Amino acid sequence: MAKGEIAIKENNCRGCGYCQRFCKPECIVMSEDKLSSLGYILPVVVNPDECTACGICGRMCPHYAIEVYKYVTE
Amino acid sequence: MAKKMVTGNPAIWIDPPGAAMYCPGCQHPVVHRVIADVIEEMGIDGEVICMLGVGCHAFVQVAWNIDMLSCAHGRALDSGTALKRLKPEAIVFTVQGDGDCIAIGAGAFVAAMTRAEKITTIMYNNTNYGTTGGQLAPTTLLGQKTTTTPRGRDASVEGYPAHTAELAATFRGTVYSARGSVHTPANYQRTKKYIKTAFQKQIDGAGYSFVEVLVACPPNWHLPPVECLDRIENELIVEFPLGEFKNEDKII
Ligand code: SF4
Ligand code: SF4
Ligand code: SF4
Repeated sequence: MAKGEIAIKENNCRGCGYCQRFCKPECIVMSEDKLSSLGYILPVVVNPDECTACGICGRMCPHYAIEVYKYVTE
Repeated sequence: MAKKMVTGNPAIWIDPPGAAMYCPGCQHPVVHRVIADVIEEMGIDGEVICMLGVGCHAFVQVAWNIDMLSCAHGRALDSGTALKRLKPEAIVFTVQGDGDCIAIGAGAFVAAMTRAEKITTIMYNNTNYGTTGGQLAPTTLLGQKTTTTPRGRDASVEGYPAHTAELAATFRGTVYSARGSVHTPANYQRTKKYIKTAFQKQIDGAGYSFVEVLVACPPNWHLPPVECLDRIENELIVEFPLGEFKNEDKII
């Protein structure tokens, strides 16, 4: 059960692959063929259920392309 | 279900264009984020004044919504000295690259520590002159190929890498000196602690504080970004060990 979710701002992404490297539950992989409008290879979320909302992918992204959200009960 | 943001843009970050200016995988903006996080957590965004050097780090001038001054190359600590003496209540910090701090600005750096200025320096070390196309810097590793050392740095010609954080620690006026990196999430957190401590030393009026941070520069290292992280782990840290080199509460 996912504890949260991420939103990738595709226009900011520069395809570096750090998010894939640092996501422990392997929620993120760099796609083979999905490109941003600037031509960079984009990451895709393949395992959304495993996201722990740890925030690491967002913090380690050099291009501020990932927002991380945690699910909260009101 | 309701959602709460865990990581987004730091409070002092203006988006765009900040992060858009950097090469893919450049870790300068990661350090910008660490500093922005510290400023936000300490609640000092109204008190800090950033003195910027010249280099890739200085692109942050269009991204941070705090008081900043772009200084002449290597002279951020000279301008910072003037500002701190005129406004002692301000938290003055310089953001400099390795070329700006320990090459072009080496005289200003040594002089500021000699005078025991109550300023903080955060030096981004990418082991070359990134902005101008990847020339040799004092911090370039032995064997590292740059545009001015195409066969690799040769100790018999260009000497040995300069250890800036260790040098800073030898000055009596320096109360805090550390070297961090952001090549793993754990090191990101450690670097954040170092920068927070450095700011606190200045707030306490203790003396000069210095933090060096190792950062990836993929185009000038001629490596894909993720391999730069391995280079930091396997090569940079061997030459430039991480940790605190000095941590005093007052000048002794
Ligand atoms: S870390 Fe950021 S810039 Fe790099 S691939 Fe992931 S989303 Fe894109
Ligand atoms: S928040 Fe953590 S678990 Fe979720 S995608 Fe990012 S790195 Fe992976
Ligand atoms: S040249 Fe190097 S330091 Fe400068 S923006 Fe590009 S990757 Fe970053």
